[in-house]
Amino acid sequence: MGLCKITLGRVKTRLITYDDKFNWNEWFVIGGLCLSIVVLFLLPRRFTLQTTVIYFLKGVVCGFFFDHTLSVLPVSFYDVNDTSQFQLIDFLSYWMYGGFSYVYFYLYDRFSIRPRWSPLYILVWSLIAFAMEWLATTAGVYHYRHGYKLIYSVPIYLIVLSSWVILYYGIKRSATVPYEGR
Amino acid sequence: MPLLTAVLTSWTFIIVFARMPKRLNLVECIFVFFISIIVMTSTFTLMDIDLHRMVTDKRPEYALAIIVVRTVLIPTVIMMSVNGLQTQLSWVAKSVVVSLPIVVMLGIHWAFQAMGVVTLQNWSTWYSVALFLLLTGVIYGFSWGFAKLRLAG
Repeated sequence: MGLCKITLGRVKTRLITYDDKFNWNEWFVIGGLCLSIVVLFLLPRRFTLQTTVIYFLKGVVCGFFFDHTLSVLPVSFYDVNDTSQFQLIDFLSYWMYGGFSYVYFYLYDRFSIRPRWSPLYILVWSLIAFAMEWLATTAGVYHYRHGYKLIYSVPIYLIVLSSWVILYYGIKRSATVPYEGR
Repeated sequence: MPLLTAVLTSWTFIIVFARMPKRLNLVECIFVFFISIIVMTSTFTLMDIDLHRMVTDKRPEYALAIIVVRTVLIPTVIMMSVNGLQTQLSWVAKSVVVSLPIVVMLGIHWAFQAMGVVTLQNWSTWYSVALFLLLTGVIYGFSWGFAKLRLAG
C-alpha cells in the first residue's frame, strides 16, 4: 500500500494506492457489469422503457451519491478499487449496481409485494446487498478506513431500499394520475 | 455560512420548482435529476481529486455545502430549465431558460471562490464557463433522448 501526502484546500490528505495490477477487483467489476446488462436484457419486459431506465439508474445514482459523500473527505470511510483517486474502473463499478436495483423493482412488481410485506422484502434484499458487499470487499473493490466496518452498511441499505419502495409507489401512482392532475 | 447559503438557495429553487407548471412527467423529472447527479459528481470529483484544478476545501461545513450544491441545487436548476424548454415560449425566453443553469452555476462558482470553498489551480474562469456549457449540453442531450423513449413505449 503506497502513501503520498498532498494538500487539498486546507486539509492535508494522503493519496493511497492499494495495488496497481489488473486483478480480482477489476474482474469483479467487469463481471458485475456484464451480469447487470445480461439481467436487463434477459428478463421479460415488465415496465415502459422510461420506467426501466429509471429503475436501472436508481442503483447507479445511489452508488454515485454514497461514493461521493461517504468515501470522500471529510469522512472518507472507504476507498473504491486500486487507489483513493477517481478512476475509470470506479466509474464503471457504479453501473453494476443498476442490475441490482432493476431486479429489486422487477421482483417487487412481479410478485406484487403488499406494503405489509415490504419490510420483510427490504430486509431480505439488505442481506443480499450485505453479502455482495462482503464479496466485493474480499475481491478488493472496497477498502474501509477510519474505523468503518461492513456491518455499518446494513442500516444504510435498509434506509436506501425503503426509499426505493417509496419511489416505486410514486412512479406507479404517477402512471395512474391524469397529466392535468399533477 | 457556505452551508447555510447552499441549503437556503437550494430550498428557494425547490420552492420555485414546486410552484412551476410541469411539462415533464414524474419519470422524466427523476431522470433529469439522476443524470445531473451522475454527470456533476463524476466531473467535479475528477476536477478535484484527480486533476487538482478545482480544489475544494475538505472541512466538514464546506464539504457538505459542496455536496448540497452538486446533488440538490444544480440538478434542481437543470430540471427547471429542461421543464421550461417544454413550454410554448419565444426563442428569446427559451434562451433565458437554457442559460439559467449556467448562470446559476457560475454564480455559485464565484461565491464559493470568494468564500474560499473552491480554489482554482492552473484554471481560468473561462474554462469553467466552457465546462458548465458542456455539462449542461450533455444533460440536455440525455433528457431529449429520454423524452423520445416515451414514444417508443
